[in-house]
Amino acid sequence: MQIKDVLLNEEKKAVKTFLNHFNLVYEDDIDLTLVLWEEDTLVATVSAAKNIVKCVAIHENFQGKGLLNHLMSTLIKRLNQRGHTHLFLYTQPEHVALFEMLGFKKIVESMNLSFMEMGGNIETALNELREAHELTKRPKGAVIINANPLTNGHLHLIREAKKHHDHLLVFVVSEDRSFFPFDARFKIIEESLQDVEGITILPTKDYLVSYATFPKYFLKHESTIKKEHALIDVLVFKQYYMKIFNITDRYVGDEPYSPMTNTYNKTMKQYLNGDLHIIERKSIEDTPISASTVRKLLKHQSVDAVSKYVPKATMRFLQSPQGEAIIEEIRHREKRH
Amino acid sequence: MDKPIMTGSLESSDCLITLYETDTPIIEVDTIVHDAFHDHILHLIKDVLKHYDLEHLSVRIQDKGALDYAIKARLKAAIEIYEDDSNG
Amino acid sequence: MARSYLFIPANEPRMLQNAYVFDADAIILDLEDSVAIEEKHEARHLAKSFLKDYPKDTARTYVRINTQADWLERDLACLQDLDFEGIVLPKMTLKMWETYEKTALKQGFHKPVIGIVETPEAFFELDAIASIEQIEGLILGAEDLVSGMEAKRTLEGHEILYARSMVRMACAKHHILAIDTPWTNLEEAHLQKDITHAITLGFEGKCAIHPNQVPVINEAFAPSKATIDFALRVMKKYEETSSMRFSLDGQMVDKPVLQRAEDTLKKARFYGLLKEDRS
Repeated sequence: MQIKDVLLNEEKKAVKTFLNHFNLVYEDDIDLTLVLWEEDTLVATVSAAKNIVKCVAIHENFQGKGLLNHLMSTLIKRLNQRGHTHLFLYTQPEHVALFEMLGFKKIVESMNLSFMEMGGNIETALNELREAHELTKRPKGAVIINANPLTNGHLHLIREAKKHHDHLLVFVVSEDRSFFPFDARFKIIEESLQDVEGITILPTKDYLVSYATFPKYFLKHESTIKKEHALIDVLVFKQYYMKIFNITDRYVGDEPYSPMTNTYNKTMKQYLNGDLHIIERKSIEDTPISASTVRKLLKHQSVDAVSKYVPKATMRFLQSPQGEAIIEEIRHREKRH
Repeated sequence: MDKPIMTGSLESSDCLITLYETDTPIIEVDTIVHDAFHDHILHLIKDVLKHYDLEHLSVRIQDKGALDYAIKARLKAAIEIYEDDSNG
Repeated sequence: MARSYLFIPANEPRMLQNAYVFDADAIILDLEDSVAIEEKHEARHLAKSFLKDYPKDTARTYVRINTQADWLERDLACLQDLDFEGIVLPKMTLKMWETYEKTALKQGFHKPVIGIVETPEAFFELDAIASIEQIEGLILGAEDLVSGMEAKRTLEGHEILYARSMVRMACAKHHILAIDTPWTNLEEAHLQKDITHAITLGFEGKCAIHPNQVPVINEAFAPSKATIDFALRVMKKYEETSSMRFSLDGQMVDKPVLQRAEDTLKKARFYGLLKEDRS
């Protein structure tokens, strides 16, 4: 038996057909696929998109021989070579035992989905983050923003939330899947909030992921996928972030025009109940201010067009060489989440 | 060390070793065998690190029932990679 | 002396720990083809640790090393001062031997060597290879040889008949072990047939690439009960007559027959097939 990389289209096709037997779909963002072959028989396959392990399947006739362990070990080492030491995996709850055998640990579980990790531990990571910022045990409020880029809408949400709390935590999504890189997003927020007392700005670390990263390959209906994504996100927030940082209330902006954010907020409301507060989004001339509105303006109009929607720090960044390059990218790329 | 060093595997009777640098060194033992072996494996790892004067390094071991000879071999293989990297 | 030589991938603890439970007469820890390039380093450490710390068994233990000069050097370096029978050197030719010998000398490495002859070149210098003092036996490597010839490996084995005969003859001439090629198909009936070819030509043992092949090989290469009984009778009669020439069951027994009977009993004893109280 031999482990091979999937390099040719023909091989990729073979993997897709194989996965179909298991009701799994090969996802577009996969950047590494390994296959275990016995002569011409595809025995097992594993894939990864960056640090997320996906599309794991093994032929019925070859199960129970430890072959997946062999394949997974090779994948883990290859991902380590690529700098991905902390790995994540989404699977159905009935397969949790199998992946525990393969070295993964469960983070949270919903009815349909389990979220697992390897090479890191959520409690350790969040406790370290809490200690690094010398956060006290006092109750806190929290907002989580991607800020791609930061708008006056975000600032409005933060100020509204702050009214109810001595101490507010502003989590910035760490995941780098946005036009504006994490470092830039974080710095703009720091600059914009530097004169506000009682706010701590933190990275979310790797646990709260965007919808783009969320795997869809074994969930059939798009509405289920959206709900599951929201659910996992909320469970992680509730079971770990709220507990470890002693967060009592979470604040989100309403999003009347985005069905996706709506689903998300609804799911969150179900699980957080009175701990969740939806703040009305700030509008200018009846246009609610959101990061996507700002990106749309940047795509079609000049930089000055966004000045009334964003704070000075965002404006300064947009006019910097790095900002100009990003605007160029927005103008040339197809619509992206 | 620019990235952690990994040796071994998750196959039965083997173990996956991750050798890495942290500010405060930790040894993490995750084993499928009885708890009694947990301390045994911990001591085994400490002894090897001490022998190479590398107690400042962190080790994570995901053990799938490896015998001592295999654990030692996997750890030594990782240490040798570390030393080669450090010297060259 | 061994009937079966079982290859064990050196980087798989599960296989290593079971190496001795399959009753192979010899095991070959493999650092070469069954170990992926990126795992060579780990495999060396594991093989070393295994040979050093894992309890020994009666089976003879060999290590197949890599032939690429720098790997060969590292393989031998890691095998220094360990207790095992000898080296299995693949792709054996006089040139390969030169490389091996130079490295072994430099490292002060002294072990018997079994060469695998598996390239067309080797068959034009087989006599010279078999005459090398440290060479304790030769393995025919049919898979690589056949692909080197751009031929096809078949169950009938016509494609390797010449090579097989050559190996047997070179080993007979220089009194070293003649070990037959592994059979890579796991079908037992096919293995049986391939073994028959080797036994007909006088091979004394065969490589196994799977534990399931071991009992089949052991049984086939062991002297049969009839052969052992005949040898016992020959020796008994020899003791009685104290003559090198006598008749037994109406057949003439002379020196070569006596010699064969002695060899048979030696093998039978070694493989545990002889209850001493029978003689």
